[in-house]
Amino acid sequence: MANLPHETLGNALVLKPSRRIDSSNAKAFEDDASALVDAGPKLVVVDASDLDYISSAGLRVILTTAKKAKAAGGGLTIACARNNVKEVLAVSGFDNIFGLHASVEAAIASLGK
Amino acid sequence: MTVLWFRGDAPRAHSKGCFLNGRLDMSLANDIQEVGRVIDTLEEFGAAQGISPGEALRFGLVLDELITNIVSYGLVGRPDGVITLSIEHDEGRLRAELADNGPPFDPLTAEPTEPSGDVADRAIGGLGLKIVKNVLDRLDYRRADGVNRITMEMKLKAA
Repeated sequence: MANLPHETLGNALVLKPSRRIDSSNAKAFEDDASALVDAGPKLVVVDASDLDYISSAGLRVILTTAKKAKAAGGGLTIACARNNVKEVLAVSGFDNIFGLHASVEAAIASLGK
Repeated sequence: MTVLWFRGDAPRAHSKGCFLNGRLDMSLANDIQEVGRVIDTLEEFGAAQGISPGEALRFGLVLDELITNIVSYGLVGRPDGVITLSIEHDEGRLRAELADNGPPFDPLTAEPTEPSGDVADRAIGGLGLKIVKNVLDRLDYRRADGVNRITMEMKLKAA
């Protein structure tokens, strides 16, 4: 089973990566997220509350996960990004592309629309 | 693992860097897994130096992107590839030098962009360098004596 912390809330899969998604562990996130999307809900929220750090390799695997969810008829959005993570999402424009929500509940509601 | 040492560098056998007088020196294998060790070590160094965890991680992000480029492009197929990293903290600044023994490779110009694809694909293209330039106040590349050297500087935000 995947090591990536996660839970199912209603019809949404909430992924809760902790500490960092850097170049050395991005592949592990991608593999775990992919298996979870295959097996579970296709509406995906990345809850970044516990995430201190994300690199471009991390954004790349968020993107591949989003494409997978979308191809399966779902989607992906991001919630609760802080500090450095928020800064990287802004520099990349990912905050606008995927949406950045103040709570997991708001994120799930946006996917349901 | 074969380890080559640059001229003038004394071999050091340690898994973590050692840091004295605001300086951290590490020798890295040509392996993307080293990025995790660099950031862990930088977090320890930052804590020992009284640098805020957020600022240490911002600098770690830059090193992550640059080391990733070196390992993924410059040193591809070079099992003898070695990267050395020196970090200094003084007067409210973090400075670092990254050196590698691969062929001439300027990571500041080498990251491929992805002009095709949707809006998210285009956002990812060249993103590593965008992140690097967003964080750093200075960034230079030079090639000398068969070694690629990137030097960089980040002013620390006042606590």
